[in-house]
Amino acid sequence: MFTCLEITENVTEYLEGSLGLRGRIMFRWHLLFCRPCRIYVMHVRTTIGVLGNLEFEGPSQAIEAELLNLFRG
Amino acid sequence: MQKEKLHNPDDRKILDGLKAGDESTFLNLVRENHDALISVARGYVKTRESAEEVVQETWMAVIKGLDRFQGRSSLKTWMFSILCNISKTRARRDHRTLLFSEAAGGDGQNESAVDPSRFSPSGKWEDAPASLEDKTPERLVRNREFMEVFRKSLGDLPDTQRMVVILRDVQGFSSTETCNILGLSETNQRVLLHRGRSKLRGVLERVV
Repeated sequence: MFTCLEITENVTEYLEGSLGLRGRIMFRWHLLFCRPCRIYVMHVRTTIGVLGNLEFEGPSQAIEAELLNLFRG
Repeated sequence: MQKEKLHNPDDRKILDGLKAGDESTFLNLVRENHDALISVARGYVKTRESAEEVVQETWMAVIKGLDRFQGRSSLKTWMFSILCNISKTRARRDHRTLLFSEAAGGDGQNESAVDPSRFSPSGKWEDAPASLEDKTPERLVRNREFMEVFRKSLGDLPDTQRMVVILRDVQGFSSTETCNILGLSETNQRVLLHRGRSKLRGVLERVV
C-alpha cells in the first residue's frame, strides 16, 4: 500500500503511466479512500494545466523584425 | 514532386508555408517557440544575451535547413534539437557543461515533493493540502498576481528541471521527444519533471 507521502513522490510516475499495473491499482486504491491525496493530485494536474496555458510573450519587436529579415533572406 | 512523409502530418501546412516564403507562418512559429527556445538555451549558456544569439543562430539554421528537413521527427523536435546542438557547441567554447546525470541527483536542496514535516511518522497527511475549489487552470492564468509569481518560480527552477518542464508541459513534447532533444534517459527525465512540477505545485498551494 502507498502512504500519503509515497503518493506525493509517485504522482509523476502515475500520471506518466510508468507505475505498472499493480502500482496503478494501488495508487488508485489509496486515492479512493484519501481526500487529501485526491486534492494533491488535483493540485498537480492544475499545475500542469497552468503550464499548458501559459501565454507566450514572444520576442521583442526589434528581434522579430531581425528574424523576419533573416527569413526574407 | 514527391513530398516527404512527415512524422507529424500537422507540420505539412507550416512546412509548405515556410518553403513558400509565407511570413505569417514564420512569425507564428517564432511567437509560439521563441520563449521556450530561450529558456532551454539558458540552461546551457551563461547569459541572456548568449541565449538570444544561440536562438537567432537556431532560426537561421532552421530557415537554411528547411530543404534538408526530412520529417523523420516533428518540425518542433527538429528545431529544438538544432537549438541544443548549437547551445552545446557554444557552451563548450565557454567551458561550461550541463550534466543531466548529476543534475538529476539534485541541486543540493531538499528534493522532497512536499515538506516531510507535513506528514506523520507513518506517512499520513498531518497538514493536508486545501482544495482549489473552482480555480481551474484557465481561471488561474487570468490571475495576474498569481501568474507573476508562477512565471518567476518557473524561471527560478534549476536549469535541468526548468528545461524538462518547459519542453513537456509548456511545449507539449512527449517524454520520448524530450529525451531525444536533451539527450536524457527516461528515468532522468521523469525525475527532473517530478521535481520541477512538485516545486511549482508548492507555489500554487502557497499563492492560491
